[in-house]
Amino acid sequence: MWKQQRDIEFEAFYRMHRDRLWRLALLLTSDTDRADDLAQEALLRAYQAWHRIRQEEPLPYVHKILVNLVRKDWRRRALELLPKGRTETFSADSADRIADALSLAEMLSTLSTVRRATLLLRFYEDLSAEEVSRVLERPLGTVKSDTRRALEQIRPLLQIEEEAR
Amino acid sequence: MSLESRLQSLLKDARFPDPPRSSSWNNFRRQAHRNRRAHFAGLMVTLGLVALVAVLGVAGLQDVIDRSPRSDAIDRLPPGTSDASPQESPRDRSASLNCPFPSVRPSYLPWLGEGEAPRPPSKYIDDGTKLQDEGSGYAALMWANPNSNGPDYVRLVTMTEDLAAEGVETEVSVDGDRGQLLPLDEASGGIVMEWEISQGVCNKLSLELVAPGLTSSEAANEIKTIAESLL
Repeated sequence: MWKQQRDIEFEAFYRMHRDRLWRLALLLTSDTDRADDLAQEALLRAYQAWHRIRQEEPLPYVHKILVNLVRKDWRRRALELLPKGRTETFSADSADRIADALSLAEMLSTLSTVRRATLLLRFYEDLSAEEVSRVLERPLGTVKSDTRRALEQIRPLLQIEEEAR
Repeated sequence: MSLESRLQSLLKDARFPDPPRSSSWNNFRRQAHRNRRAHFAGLMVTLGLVALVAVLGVAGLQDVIDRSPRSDAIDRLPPGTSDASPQESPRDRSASLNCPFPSVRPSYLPWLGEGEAPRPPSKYIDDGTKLQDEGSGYAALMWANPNSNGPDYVRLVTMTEDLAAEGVETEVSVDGDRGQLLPLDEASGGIVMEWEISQGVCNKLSLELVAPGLTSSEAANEIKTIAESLL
């Protein structure tokens, strides 16, 4: 009975957040395959822990897992920035879209994983600084200074990216 | 347009590809159930081993292991690979920074009644090996508002931070340094005051007040009062 209930509840959560989580993973990793794997893994862990997290806020929990997975993956792959994998198998329109998203991800990949996550949680997921502080387990002042620093770091790239669009 | 707004509009306007078809709910559920079965099988193996130890005793089990043929799997691994489990890199260990907890405490908290003393804070520490990068760590004391369900707290943090605080200088000093007041984050009601200090390996003391619903000037006044009460 409980398993059925869990599947019903989690399916709603999955359908609502899966695509956006995958896009966040894509922006964090610059790689469609890794984005797929890591978003999937984060959701699988959330599914396993659903009985604990369902009463609270499951989304920050999944954000936290995803950022931790990306960070571990990033360390393991040691700055493997260029996208690999299935890009060539997509249609022309999909390839354009991938190029568009990856171009943004490449701009963000000049930042450390934690700063990239800070910017994306703030300005893509629209979390407040305090919420980012809770998800990333970092002091609020650090989140603020990381945001400022990261924005300064990508300022010239932001200009190039804007001109390219 | 500010840098924040420019990045925000780039992210909002970006065209994303469709997620892969493999991401359907049915595929996900199948994978989740496979994982659960694997987890269950692992659990059974563990229970089996525990039962075996209970029957044979540790010495008996050791005897069984010693008599079994040794695996030569390591020799058969492809050149240049290793079966070693991921190890903490030397950088991780050297980056371990244990900040001491703040040596000062507030005697005023916004929710305390007249003559009421703060309860002992909850404590937590990151030695720079968790999510912190660039070798920074922190130690934090936190007082949560017991009357609030939401985020409503005062937190005092010592941390490593190579960037000078860029806020409005205040009259409130700690260790001879005047506090810098960072602007209110209106979405969460979070406001921060920071001081340059010298406490162990950590160079910054940060006071955070998260109290949704306060105006900018109310939040600034409250955090100044808390800062002035630091003893």
